[in-house]
Amino acid sequence: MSKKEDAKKSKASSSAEQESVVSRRNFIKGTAIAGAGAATLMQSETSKAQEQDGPGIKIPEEIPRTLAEAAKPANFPMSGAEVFAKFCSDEGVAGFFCCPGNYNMINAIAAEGIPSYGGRCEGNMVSAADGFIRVTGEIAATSGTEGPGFTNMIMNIGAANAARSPLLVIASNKTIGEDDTEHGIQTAYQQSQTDGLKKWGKRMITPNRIYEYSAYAFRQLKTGVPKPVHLDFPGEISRARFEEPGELQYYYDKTRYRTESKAHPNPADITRAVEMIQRSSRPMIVASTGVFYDKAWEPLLRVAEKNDIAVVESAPQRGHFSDGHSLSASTGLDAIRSADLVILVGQYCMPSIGEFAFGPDARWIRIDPDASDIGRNVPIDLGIVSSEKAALEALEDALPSRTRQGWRDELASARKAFDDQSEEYYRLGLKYSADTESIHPAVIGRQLNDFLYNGDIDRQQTAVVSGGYGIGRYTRRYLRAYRPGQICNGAYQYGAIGPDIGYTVGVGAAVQNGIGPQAPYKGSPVIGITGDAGAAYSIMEFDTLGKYRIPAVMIVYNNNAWGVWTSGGGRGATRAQHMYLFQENLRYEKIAEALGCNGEYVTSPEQFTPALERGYKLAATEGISTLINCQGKKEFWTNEYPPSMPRHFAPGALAYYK
Amino acid sequence: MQETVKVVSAELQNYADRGIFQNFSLVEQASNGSVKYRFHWLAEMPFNLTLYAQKSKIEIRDILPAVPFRSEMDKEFRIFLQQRSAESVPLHRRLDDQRFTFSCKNRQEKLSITIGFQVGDGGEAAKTAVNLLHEIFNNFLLEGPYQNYMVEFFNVSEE
Repeated sequence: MSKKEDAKKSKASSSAEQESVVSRRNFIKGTAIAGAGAATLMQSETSKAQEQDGPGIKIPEEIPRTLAEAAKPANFPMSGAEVFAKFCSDEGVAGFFCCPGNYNMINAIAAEGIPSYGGRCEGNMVSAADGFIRVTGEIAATSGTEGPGFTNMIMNIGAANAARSPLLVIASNKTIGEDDTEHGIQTAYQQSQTDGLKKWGKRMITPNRIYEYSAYAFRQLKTGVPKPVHLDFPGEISRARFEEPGELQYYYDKTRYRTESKAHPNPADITRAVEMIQRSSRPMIVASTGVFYDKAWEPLLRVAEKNDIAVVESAPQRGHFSDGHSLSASTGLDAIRSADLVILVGQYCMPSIGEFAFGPDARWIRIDPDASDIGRNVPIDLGIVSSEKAALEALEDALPSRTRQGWRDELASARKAFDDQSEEYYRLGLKYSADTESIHPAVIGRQLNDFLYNGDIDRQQTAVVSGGYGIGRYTRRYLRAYRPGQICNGAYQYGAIGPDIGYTVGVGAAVQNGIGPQAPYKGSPVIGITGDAGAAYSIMEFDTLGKYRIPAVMIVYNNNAWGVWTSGGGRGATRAQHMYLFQENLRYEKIAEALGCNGEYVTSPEQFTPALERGYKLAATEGISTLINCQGKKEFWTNEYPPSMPRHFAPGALAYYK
Repeated sequence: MQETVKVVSAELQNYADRGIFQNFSLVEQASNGSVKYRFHWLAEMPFNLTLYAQKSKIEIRDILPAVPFRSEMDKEFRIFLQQRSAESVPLHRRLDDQRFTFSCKNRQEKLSITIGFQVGDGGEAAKTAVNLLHEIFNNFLLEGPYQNYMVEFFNVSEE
């Protein structure tokens, strides 16, 4: 930021003190809003956009006022919407993200006291809920209106489905009475549109079965392998009136309609697993999705340490086994190729042979709660049907203590080789940046690593949305996870880059509210990473970040092109290249400024860390988010700049497919 | 000679039985002891492995297409092959150049590898060939700047 800009900023801040309206310049200071919205709203600084002529950007007084209102849980007589909202509250739904529509329902959910957020696009709100889930392990809900709103949600539901997120999708759906008539607008048959993108779904048609079907939904969300559940509510259901409990079918407590019981492993299978582990010289656990959702990270640690078993992560979230542990293989990629026994724990999204880098002579054990999936894609030497936690606890009991010094040494050596390679990429990145007067993604990754893990900030503090396409192939290399839910792996399996800012809203909301593993870091800033292609899909959510004072720093790698742009010119294609390119040097940070947030523009390595420091500080102290627009070159993905576009490697820190 | 064919076939069949290969077939057996095998594994196109039992050699033919002779990739590949015998490679993955010989050929811009073995060591040579293929696809092609190459010649997804 130039001195001139600083001076302008100071002047603007000074004039802000004189304002009496509730605005970004004069806002509730340090007010923790519990329950309804759970946003911690703090006094803000002035954005560059406010220095322009015309009315300044401000947060209307209704937002802090209504967020501060006490929850008003429903009681009989209740509407159908209130019955459902109360049900969600009783089941512990931890967050709710929506755009208006499905009005009775979203109002009832907010009234129940479930932390609720309203954003700018239904799809992004799905991803906000998904991101929230991925770093908390708790259920979140999302809602859109019928027809257009609902169809906006589809891509993001697909991403949540691929990630196996326990996401509750609710959407209004006209009325049963108008079915097939096309009376009015926005008619859509919803359930068929989420076929293949959900675990279970239902269009409710009988008002007094609303409670019963809510139980169906939560049985699906809370048992076995999770995936989205989709309920659509015609008007007759959400508006129905229930005077007393006797009017509802199957109206009883959750202890009656579902069980907390989980599958435990067959002792004979555990005996066989122990034999295989003891025969192995280089065993490795792949700690995946199920370890996180079953909250099994403590038994995982104990099993690994008891028998010196290496652990590598692969999941939509990272951190359930710390990258800092001497048995971690998440950054010891070459050691993955050496494992002679692979123990997949909760690997819900199964790789095919060859997608994981394990060698052809490795043996495979798979632990999974769903017997019907064991043996799919990867042939097993032993399958164990069990909850992840129960199986790991059983293994902990059954395994003898053992030291495998050779294996530990190989892991350490592999991690060092990875770090050395990362340093080499950084050196190359600095050279390429200097040669092109831009910033190479390896430089962004390395400086981010330094800032988050080697400076004044507790290295466990900052949750990161690891997104982007090309940029992600570098930043994943430098990101670390030291505690559960520290990294949300944005593109996991579905490869969607557009939701990244949506995920950042959700992860930010999770940290803002201190949900699940985020509790110790409540209120801390979060970091998001995406590319220019991805940012375009969800950049309007900077309004949502600003409106709720969700403290985030979003790094946007801007290389003027889709990440796959080399496909348009490298194979003799004619008249195609233009479709892969954008206008050059677009100023995405100015969009953030125009939406009441802060913008930084970075065109060289020297500018990045200072921009990051300013953004992080602003987020931490004022709750104001920043977009850092990092100007790169699309040519970095060509072989003129090796390693150009590094290839996908899984499992481990670089993984995003599985 | 028949014993070599038997053990090499069995070793490769074992990978198929374990589900590592997607399929496996012995496609041709000549009277001079050469046997051609084909299997699908790490790529869309099948791998062709030929056992020359009389000469105690296994050839993995045309592993990498479109690699001009003496090109950067050709050179890097040969260096990679050489380095697989280095002490820096963990012993359990190191190519044993005392036990086997390894040579690389570029014919019509296609790279092939031949592994020579001692009589009676065909089974281990077959395992070595399979593991070397794995290292080529999950190490050489993964660590190098070959994203665009893999998209173009192996039909891997751009994503």
